[in-house]
Amino acid sequence: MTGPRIVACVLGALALAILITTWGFPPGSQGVPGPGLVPRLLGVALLALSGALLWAPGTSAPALVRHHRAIPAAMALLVAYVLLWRVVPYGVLTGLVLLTFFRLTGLAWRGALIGAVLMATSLQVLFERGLGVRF
Amino acid sequence: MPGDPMLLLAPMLSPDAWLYVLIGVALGVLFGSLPGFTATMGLAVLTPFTFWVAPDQAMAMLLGLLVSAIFSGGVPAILLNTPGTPASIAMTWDGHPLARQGRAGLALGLNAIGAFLGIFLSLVVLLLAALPLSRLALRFGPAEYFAVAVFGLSTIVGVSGGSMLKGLATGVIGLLLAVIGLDAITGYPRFTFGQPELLDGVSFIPVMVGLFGIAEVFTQMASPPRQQLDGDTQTSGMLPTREEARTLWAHGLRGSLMGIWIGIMPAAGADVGAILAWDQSRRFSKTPEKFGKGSLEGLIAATTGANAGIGGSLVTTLALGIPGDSAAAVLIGALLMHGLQPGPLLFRNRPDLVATIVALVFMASLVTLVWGLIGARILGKILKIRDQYLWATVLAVALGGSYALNQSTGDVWTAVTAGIFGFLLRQQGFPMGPLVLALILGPMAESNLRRALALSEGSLATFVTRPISLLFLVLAALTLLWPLISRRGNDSRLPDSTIPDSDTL
Amino acid sequence: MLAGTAAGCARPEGPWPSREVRVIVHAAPGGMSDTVARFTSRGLNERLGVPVLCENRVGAMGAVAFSAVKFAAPDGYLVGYAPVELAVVPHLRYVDLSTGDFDLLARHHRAPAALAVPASSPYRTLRAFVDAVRGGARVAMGAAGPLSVWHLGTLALGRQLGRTFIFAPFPGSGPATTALLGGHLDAVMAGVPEVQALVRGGAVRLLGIMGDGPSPIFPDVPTFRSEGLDLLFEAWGGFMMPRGVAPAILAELEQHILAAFQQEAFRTYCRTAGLDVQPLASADFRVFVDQESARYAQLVREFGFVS
Repeated sequence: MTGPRIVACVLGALALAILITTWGFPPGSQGVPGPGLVPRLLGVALLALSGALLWAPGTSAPALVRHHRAIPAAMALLVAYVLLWRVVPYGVLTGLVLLTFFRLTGLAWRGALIGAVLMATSLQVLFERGLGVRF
Repeated sequence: MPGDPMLLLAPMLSPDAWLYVLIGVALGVLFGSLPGFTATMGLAVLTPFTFWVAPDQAMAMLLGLLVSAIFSGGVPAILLNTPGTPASIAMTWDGHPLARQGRAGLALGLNAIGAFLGIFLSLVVLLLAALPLSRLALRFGPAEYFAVAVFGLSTIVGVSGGSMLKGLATGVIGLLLAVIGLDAITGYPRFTFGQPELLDGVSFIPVMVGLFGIAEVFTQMASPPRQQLDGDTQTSGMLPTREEARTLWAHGLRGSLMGIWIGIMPAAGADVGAILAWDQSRRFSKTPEKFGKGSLEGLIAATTGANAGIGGSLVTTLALGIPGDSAAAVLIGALLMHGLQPGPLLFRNRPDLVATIVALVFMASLVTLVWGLIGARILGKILKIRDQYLWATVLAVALGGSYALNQSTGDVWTAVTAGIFGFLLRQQGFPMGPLVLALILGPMAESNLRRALALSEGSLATFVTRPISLLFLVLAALTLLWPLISRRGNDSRLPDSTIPDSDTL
Repeated sequence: MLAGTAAGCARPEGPWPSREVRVIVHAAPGGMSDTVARFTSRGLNERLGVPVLCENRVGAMGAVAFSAVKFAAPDGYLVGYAPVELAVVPHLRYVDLSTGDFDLLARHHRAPAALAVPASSPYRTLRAFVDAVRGGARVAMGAAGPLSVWHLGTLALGRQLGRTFIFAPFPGSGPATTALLGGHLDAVMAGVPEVQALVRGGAVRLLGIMGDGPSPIFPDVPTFRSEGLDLLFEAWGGFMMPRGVAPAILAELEQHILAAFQQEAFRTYCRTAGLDVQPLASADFRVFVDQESARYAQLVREFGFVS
C-alpha cells in the first residue's frame, strides 16, 4: 500500500469519527444552524476526498537522501524535549537536546559541544532577558 | 487637513522621533524574524514603556515595531522557508525558491522594496481617502465577510500545487482544525475532549511554526544538500534587472491595492492580504507557471500585499476608533492613555496627530528599507552556515516561540505535532498552503455564515440579495471554475517547492 | 532586575516582597482591562520597590487566566486581574473553577451595560424602544458573545419584555459596534467605555444603561430601573490572588492596590476611557462577587446554557 493510500485511509477513519461525534451536538434554533452543521459537512467532504484519494493516490514520497535515519530519532528527541519542558531548567535542557541533535545529524563532538553550549546560552539570554519569556 | 506638508514634515525634523522609531524598528526586527514570536508579543513587551514616554514617542516605537515586524517576517520565510509572522506565509512560496536558486540577495532586496512600496501607497490612501473608505468598509456585514472568506478559500485551487485532490484534502483538514474549541455562536465546546487548553481552539502560531518551521527542518534533512553556492551569487544583485523590473511595477501596485483593502476591512489581516495578493497576481501574470517556483512577480505581490495592510488598518483604527486587531488595540490604548480619542473627530480636531502618525509610519518604513537593503548583504550569508546549526536554531526558536506565546506547554505540543504530521503529509505530496489558508479563513467563514443567518432569521437569500456579498460569491465561483475555463492556470505548482525538483508532485 | 531573578532561582524567602510580582490579565494587551492592570502594576511597583510585571493569558472567556492564577503557588508573588467573567465562567463548567478558589484584594471600577442605537435610529428614547419591542417590532440586536454579560443582559431584557430579539453574537464589542455603524444591526448592548467615544462623536445614541444609578459619564441617560425594568448588568474589574496567601501579605497588598488607584495619570485615563471608578476593599469586594456569582449561576441555568 502506498503512502497516499495510507493517508487516505486515516483521513476516512477520521471523517467517520467526526460524523459520529457531531451526532451528539445540540441542534440550531431560530433558523441558525447549530454547532454541528459545519463539522458534519466537512466530515462528509473529507470522507468523499479520502475515497477519491484511494482511487487516485497520485505520486508519493521521494527516496530519502540524507539523514533519513536521523529523522525518526529527531522526532523522538523533540517529544522528549517537550515532555521535560518545565521539569529541567530551560538552558540545560536545550543544551542537552541540541547536543543530541547535532550528534544525530553527524556533527563531530567538538563542533556539537561548542554549538550546543553557545546556542543554549544565547537562546536563554535572548528569551529571558530580551523577550521577557518566563519558563 | 492631515495632508498638510508642514504637519507631515514636523516629526521628520525631530531627532527624538527618529530615535524612538529606531528602537521600535529594532524590536520589530527581533520579534518579526523569530518564527513563533509575533508583533503582538513585541507590543506586549513595549506597552509598559508607553506609560512613561510622551504619546508621540510611544507611537513612534509602536509604529516602528509594527512596520519592521512584517518586513522582518519575510526574511526567514525567504532564507529558511519558515515564515516569521503569519503575514509572511505567502512570501515562502516564491521567496524561498529564489533563495535556493542562489538569488537570496535579490529576494531580500525585493522584500525590502516591496515593503516600502506597499506602506508608502497605503499612507497615500490613508491621507487622501480615509473617511470615505472607512464608511465603505462599514458596509461589510456578516454576509459580506462570509462571501469574502469564501472567495479567499476558493484560492485553495491556486495554492494546491500539483494535486488538486490532495490540496482539497489538506484544506478540509485545516477547516476541521479551525472548528475545534468553543463555538463562536453558541459557546458549545467542540472536539475539546475536556481539555481546557483546547477551549480556545488550536492556536494558529504554533501550527504555522510546526507546519513550516519544524516540518521544513525534517524535509531538508531528508533532501539532498543545498548546492553550495559562493557568497557572491547569493547576496550580490539585490535589485532586479531593468528587464525584470518592467513587469514588477504592475504587480506591486496590484498587491498594494489588495493589501490596503484587506487592511481596511476590520475583520481580515495582513496574512489574508498577502495570500490574496499573491493569488490575484498569479491570475493576471503573463507567466503564471513560474509562480511558486521563484517568480519575482509573486514575491513582490506577496510583500506589498502584506505590508500595505498597515496603512489600511490605520484607516479604520483612526477613522472609526475601532481596533481591527491587537496592534490597533495597543495603538488606541496608547492614544487613550494620553487623553486622545481616535474616531472621525480626530481627523477634524487633531489633523496634526493623524499627520504625525502618517509621518512616523513613513519614517519607520524608510528605516526598514535602509536596514533591509544593507541587511540583505549580511543576512544572505546566513545560508552559508552549516545546515545542522540552522536546523537547530529553527527548531529551538520555533518551540521557544510557541511556548512564549502563552507560557503554555500545550502550544509546544501543538507545534511538535503539527511539525511531525506536516512532514509526513508533505512527504506524500500533500501541500500545506491550503491547510494554513483554511485555518486562517475557516473561523471567519463559519462564524459569519451563522451570524448572517441569525440576522436574516435563517434565510439564505441574504447572501445573494446583498450586492457586495453576491459579487464576492460570483468571484469565488469564477476562481473555482477558472482552471476549466483557462488552460494556462493549470501548471503552476505550489508550495512544496522545498522538495527538490523530482517526481514528488 | 538581575538580583530579583537570581533570588527567584535560589528561593531564599526573605521578607515579602523580595522579588518580582506578576499580574495575570485575561485580556489582550492594549485593551481596557490590560491598561487598568498596567496602571495598577506601575503604582504597585513604586510602592513595593520590586518589579511588577503584567502577563496576558488570553482565551476561553478568561478561563485560561483564571486557571493560571488558581494553580499558582500562594506565595504572594502572583496577582490576577478579576473581571466580571470570574462570576460567569465557573458556572459554564468548561473548567473546574469557583470564586472560592481566590482571595479577593480590591475592586477598581464598574462599567454598566449600555443599549446603543445609531444616531439615525427611529428609537429616540428608552421608552420608545421598549414600547416598540413590546408592540412586536423586529429588532436585530448584537453584542459580544456568546455568554458575555452583554449577551446575558440582552436575553434578560428580552425576557422582561416578553419578546425574543433577533440576536447575533460578535467576537467583541468592537466588531458589534462596527456592525451597528454599518447598519447591519438595530441596536447593540455593550459596556459604556466601549461605546463612549462614538456617543461623544455623535455617531451613536445611548438609550439606557443597566446600572443601579445614573452613569457619571453620561448623567442624562436613564437607567433601565427608572423605566420599571429591573435589570442590572455591568462589567467590573478588580484584583485577586490564589487562595491561601498569608493574611499579612493580603492586607498589605490590598492597601497598596487601593492607593495605586489614586494615581493622577490613572484617574485621567479612566475619565477619558469612560470608566466609572468605584473602589471596594477586600471584604466588600468578596460580598459583591459572591452576589454577582449567585445571580449569574441562576441566569445561565434559566437561559438553558447549562442544565
